[in-house]
Amino acid sequence: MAVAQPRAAVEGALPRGTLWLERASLLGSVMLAPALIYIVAFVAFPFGFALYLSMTDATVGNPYGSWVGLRNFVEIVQSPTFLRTLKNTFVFTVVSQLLILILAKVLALALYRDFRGKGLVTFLILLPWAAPISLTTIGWLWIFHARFSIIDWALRQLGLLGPNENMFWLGRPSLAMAAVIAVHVWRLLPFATVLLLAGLTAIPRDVLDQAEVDGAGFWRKLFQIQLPLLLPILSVAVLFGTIFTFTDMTVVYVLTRGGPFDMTQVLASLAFFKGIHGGNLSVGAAISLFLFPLLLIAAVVILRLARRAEVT
Amino acid sequence: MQSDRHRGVSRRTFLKAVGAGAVAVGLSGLPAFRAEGQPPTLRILQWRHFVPPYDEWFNTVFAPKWGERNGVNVVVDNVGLAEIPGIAAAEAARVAAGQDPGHDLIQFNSPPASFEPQAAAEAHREVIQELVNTHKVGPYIELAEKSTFNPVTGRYFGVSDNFVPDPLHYRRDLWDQAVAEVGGPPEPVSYDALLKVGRKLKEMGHPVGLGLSQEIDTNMWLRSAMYSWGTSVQDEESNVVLDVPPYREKTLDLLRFVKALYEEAMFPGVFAWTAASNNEEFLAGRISVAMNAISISRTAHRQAAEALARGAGPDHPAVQLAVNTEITERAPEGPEGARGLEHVMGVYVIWDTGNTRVIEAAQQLLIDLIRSYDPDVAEQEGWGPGKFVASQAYDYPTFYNAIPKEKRLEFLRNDPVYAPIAEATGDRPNKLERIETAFEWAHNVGWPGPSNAAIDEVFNTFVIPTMFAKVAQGVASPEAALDEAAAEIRRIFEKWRAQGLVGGTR
Repeated sequence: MAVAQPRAAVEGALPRGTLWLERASLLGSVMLAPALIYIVAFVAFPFGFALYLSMTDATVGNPYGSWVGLRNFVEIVQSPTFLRTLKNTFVFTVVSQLLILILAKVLALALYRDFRGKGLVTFLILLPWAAPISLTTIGWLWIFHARFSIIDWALRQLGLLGPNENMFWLGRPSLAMAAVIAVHVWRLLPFATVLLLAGLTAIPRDVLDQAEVDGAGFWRKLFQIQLPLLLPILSVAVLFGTIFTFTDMTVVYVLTRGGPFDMTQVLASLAFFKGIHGGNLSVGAAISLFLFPLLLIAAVVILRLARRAEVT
Repeated sequence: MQSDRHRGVSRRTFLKAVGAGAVAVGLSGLPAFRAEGQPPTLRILQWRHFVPPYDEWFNTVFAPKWGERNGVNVVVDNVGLAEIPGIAAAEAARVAAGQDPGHDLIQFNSPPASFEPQAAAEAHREVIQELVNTHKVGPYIELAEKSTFNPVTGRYFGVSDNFVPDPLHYRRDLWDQAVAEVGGPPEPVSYDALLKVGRKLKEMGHPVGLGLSQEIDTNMWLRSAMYSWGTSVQDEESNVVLDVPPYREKTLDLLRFVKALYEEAMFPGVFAWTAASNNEEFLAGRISVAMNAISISRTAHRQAAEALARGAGPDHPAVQLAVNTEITERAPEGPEGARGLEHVMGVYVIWDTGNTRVIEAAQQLLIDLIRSYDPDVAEQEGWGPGKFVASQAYDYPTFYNAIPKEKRLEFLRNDPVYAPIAEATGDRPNKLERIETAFEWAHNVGWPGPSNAAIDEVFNTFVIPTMFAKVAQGVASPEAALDEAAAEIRRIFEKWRAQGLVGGTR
């Protein structure tokens, strides 16, 4: 049992210069300062500057511009390209998140059990998360290549494609969209799997044992015990996955550059093409910020849901 | 910043010293010029050239020797073509903020009109005048003038050091075979011929390969077709005319033609192409026609030379591919002419940092780089083979006489790259001589108007390829696709007009 030392005794034992650090309020501020500086310098300032740019007529040659208010936002919502891009962004995010949740749950359940080679399997599942996304997307670019696609080769071996036939994965709108979704699922699946596995491991064993004693089968345990208890962590997986997919431009930039004819364009890639390649910084900033309010609301709602569902 | 102007060597002094030094070197081989005090550092950003020996020449011969002669530390960073706009945007912001941009001289591969406010326009004008008036290497060709001069502001936003001709490449063996069956001209000299013979080529398993994707080659060939159809994005005064009569009907006609060409002579892969795809497909023997710079020919030549060096005979597929790869004499002809584009427009921009010493060094480097086109000048100055030979005729001069015509033809007629293959196969060595005609048919992006900031945005956001691709795939009617593209283009033009960088009123 700890015995409280008289303050005078502690002060006497410490060097004089360190005494002021003993004050909780001051120490707290000092310890928080690096994080705060980081957030202000690398999050708040760039965000504020992007917000400013979106309300100016800034270009790459005139990067400060003049104030135009909401004109850029009004302009972009009149553009069919922007509206299609907005729709694509939602489609890619919703479809990929649904697939990720289902597949991550299956993988987490598989990894929850002990089996030979589990370590190797876990390593392989985690690999897409650890590899640089630009590099792996170039790999996918070859997998979906118009002529030399390995998927086409496999389909040819199975007799599903003729000798000189190709699917042209990235040349047909629906296949190109499927390809983009597939790469998003592939790269985010490991993260969701690890989160769900951690959630599964945290479920008290006796709860599951009791359910089994009471005669609950696999589906009943899954839907009535595991999923409700996993809801907080599931929400976190959805939140992160949604934000990662909404804000990612690498997959589209490397794989399709938004094509064919803008059918795979997403907000992040369109913002880059407009703002950097097109030199239209302010419109690029407006496009990239367009979904911020929506993402903010989604994040708050999901986190609240997660907190309500927390098991204490 | 202003103090640099006084501390440094003035431009006049610099040029006088270089001139005197050049004479001195001719006599004694001593360095031509040394800046007073600490040598300035000139930092250059440019692309990784499509012809790798060019980078080797520039980085290991020209830049160090020029730097040594002029008392300037020259640092060269080579990056991929697609990385330049992003880096340049960040550097322009730093110039605007009065900070060190990171590089002093950037080579763009398309006219960077939107960077004009941060470019050292007066320095660019001086370089052009110096080359034309003092070194007599002009004229500065119209294609270059329209790609670097803004008639609205009266400023040069860059100096073009080269353009790259964009001829049609075709497989002679396949074309001959198809023509023997369906008839047609001996070469793909017109779009009509491309469609007619292309049907047969597709049937033979070697379709026409003209991209309909969001990449540079698609941007180029579609504009080439538009110009040959007598339509364009803007007129000479920078008014948007794409959907305005009589251009509207011409554009619609071309949209219908491209749809027919795609359906009858091409394949769906063209919608997913990257800038390298037509090279890959042509060199893999899959497609029979592509519009591209001579990089396709040069790669075929290199592969053939490697095969021969390994002991392969003239019948080796790589050697035969090189022999059967031809370029057309000019862009394919449409209803209103045979107009083509440059494939790459090399434009150097000196950042307006106010650092006079560095700006003057950049000016002098550009002057000497363009002078180095002439192999005799390059040899005399100790700059190796010079720009034209090092790029294997990929870089064509924008100062018409930077390398005189007879020297260009001399190189192309005895092309040292193709000569060994020609000798081994009995083919003619002057396969690429025809690119010389590009001076007559190559136009700028934005023709008949200038390559302005709005044209730059339209180009880099792929508005034109998207319009054609939608019609070709049948997801939009020609009228709907044209109206959507024209509305987008007008939004872009209005924005840049408000910046005071683009002319026209509609």
